[in-house]
Amino acid sequence: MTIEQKTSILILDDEPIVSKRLKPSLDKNGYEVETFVRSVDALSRIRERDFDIIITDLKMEGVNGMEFLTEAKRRSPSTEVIVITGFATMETAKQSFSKGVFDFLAKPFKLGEILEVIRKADIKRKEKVAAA
Amino acid sequence: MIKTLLSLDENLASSIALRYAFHQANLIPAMKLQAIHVEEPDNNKKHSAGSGWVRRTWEKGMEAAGADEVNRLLKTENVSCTFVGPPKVFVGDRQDEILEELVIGGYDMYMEGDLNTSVVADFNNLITSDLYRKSPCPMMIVKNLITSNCAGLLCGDGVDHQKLITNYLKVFKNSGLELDLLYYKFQENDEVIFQDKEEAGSILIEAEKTLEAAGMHARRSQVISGSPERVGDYLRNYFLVASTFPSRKGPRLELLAHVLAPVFLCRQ
Amino acid sequence: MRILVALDEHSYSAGIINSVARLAANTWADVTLLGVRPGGAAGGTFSMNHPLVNTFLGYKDDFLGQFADSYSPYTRQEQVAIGENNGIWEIPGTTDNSRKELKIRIRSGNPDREILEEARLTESDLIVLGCSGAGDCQWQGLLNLPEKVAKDASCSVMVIKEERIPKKIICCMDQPSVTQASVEMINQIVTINEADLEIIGLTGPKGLKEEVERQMDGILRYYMAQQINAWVKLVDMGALEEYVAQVSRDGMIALWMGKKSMLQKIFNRDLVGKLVTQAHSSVLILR
Repeated sequence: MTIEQKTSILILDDEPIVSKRLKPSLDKNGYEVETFVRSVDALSRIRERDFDIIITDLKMEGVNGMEFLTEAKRRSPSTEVIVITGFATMETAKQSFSKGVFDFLAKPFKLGEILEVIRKADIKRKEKVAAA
Repeated sequence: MIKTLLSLDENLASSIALRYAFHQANLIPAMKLQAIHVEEPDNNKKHSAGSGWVRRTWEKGMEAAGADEVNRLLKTENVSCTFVGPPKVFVGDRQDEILEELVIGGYDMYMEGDLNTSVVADFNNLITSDLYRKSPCPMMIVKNLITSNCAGLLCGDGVDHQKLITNYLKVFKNSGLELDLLYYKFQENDEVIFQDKEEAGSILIEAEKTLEAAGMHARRSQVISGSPERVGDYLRNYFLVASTFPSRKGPRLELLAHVLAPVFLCRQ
Repeated sequence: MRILVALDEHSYSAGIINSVARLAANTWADVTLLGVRPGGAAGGTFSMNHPLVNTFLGYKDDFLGQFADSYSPYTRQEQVAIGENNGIWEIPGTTDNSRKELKIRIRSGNPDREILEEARLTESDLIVLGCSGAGDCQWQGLLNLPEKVAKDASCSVMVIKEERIPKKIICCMDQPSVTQASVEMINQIVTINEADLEIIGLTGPKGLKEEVERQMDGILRYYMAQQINAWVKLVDMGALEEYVAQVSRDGMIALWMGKKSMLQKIFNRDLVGKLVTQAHSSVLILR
């Protein structure tokens, strides 16, 4: 019998309310979740281990979200990255996709919307693993 | 040293003024801030003040409460301004106490927060109050926290530009702020119209010469026409708008009432 | 972000497609173009030949026409197929593998109720709709529809009056109940328009309420931390109409609607209605 590993998710947003809102719901849905409000801490964490899915804000002090997701994809190309931003522009959306992000969500969004995006990212990731 | 007295209460206006003062102190290393807070006894309760030791105890309590209020604000804002000492807390009439401190302390500028209402009467009441009329130094009314790098000097309409420039430079000469010389023309329309400095006769040209004599130069000299509301709104991005106290109700007073930027007023 | 665009067949609706596309181009939102036909026999039988379908296919093409380059979030569905579910007709505008979704939905019944129901059902973050003009914000044949939607929606509502980029967003507050979603909505609108932000505290006979002042302080701090320039100002409730008329020429008026808002009690006529009707600019009701 094989035990399916939980999908690991890292959430990085400098506004604590975002993680506070998301984490309980993701926990409930069986994901393994770690949350960060400082990009420097999240950066240290992805150097320690890979995550299946990363959800990151863009505009942050210190290492910004674009730099963070670039590093995350460089270290672990199979990680699916979902960008959430309060300051969306055409340029940031295009730039995100050119870096290979899975989806780009402008705030505000309902919990249901991001849960659906995470579910799709998880399916895609599992399909890739199965194909490999 | 540029000694500045900053009045603080525990409210939004003071919070903005404190952050602005912090920003200003960063621009002007010679600026030294002194916070002041006045606890005004509630008129309804003034008889409870008593006399003798009862009164002294009551005053001590009021002072302690006032000090707590200011310290709470300073802690909340978490700004590392260079204060010359602990906040001065007094009990009494706010205007009288601040005025006395301004006179005794030999300050170069007084600063306080005041949220803009765009009601000319409110602004006029403020600048014609005893505190403003009798103040021995220039007054800074902080309406918003602006962090741009240019100040506007509002000339014309009875302004002695030499006095204005002298007073302004006394505080801001080494701030690194750029300067615009502005001449306001009242016009009842929805547009803000810009004209060359010559439209102000010799006023802006003379002001430019005064500035140059002081080793400074204006980034721009221009005439701005429009309603006080529209021009006041246009001036929102200035770090401050400086002028002399308007001596009468007129377009300049109205404009200064509508300006969303901090206003620096000096006597002439 | 999910945007619900409520449209009818008139020019004021056609006129907002560009603005919606601009909003969507920046936020990469899932977009629903919603039409409502009269219920019962008045609506007639519905099929691909219904005039509303043609109008909405035109809107869809206009919308997608704004996304020309390869980075478009919307991958056009070339084949037009109409499906029906529970009396609601749907035409996909994008393919299944499109990054973001665009669809047409046609409901039947009472228009304002159907718009609100669709917003609830699809968990929309923003309802966008046009109206007949600056001083008379109406939908043809439907009394006060924009006003009703603005008043009763549970999400934010943007009523577009003209296709103009606002220079500033003027957000009025009379009560301290401000949601995270409303603050985020302002962020987006300010960013997209590169506009200034003005936070207006509405004052009554006793001045500014302490709790409103605290909330303004909190919001100002938030925007400062986000490096968004924000100006604060106080406006007396009694002078608000005049103020709105004056500033809405080059700004967008926004109103924080909280559950505790007293505005409706203070004004003889409803403030939302007044703002929607009288503002020269587009109006954003924030929830």
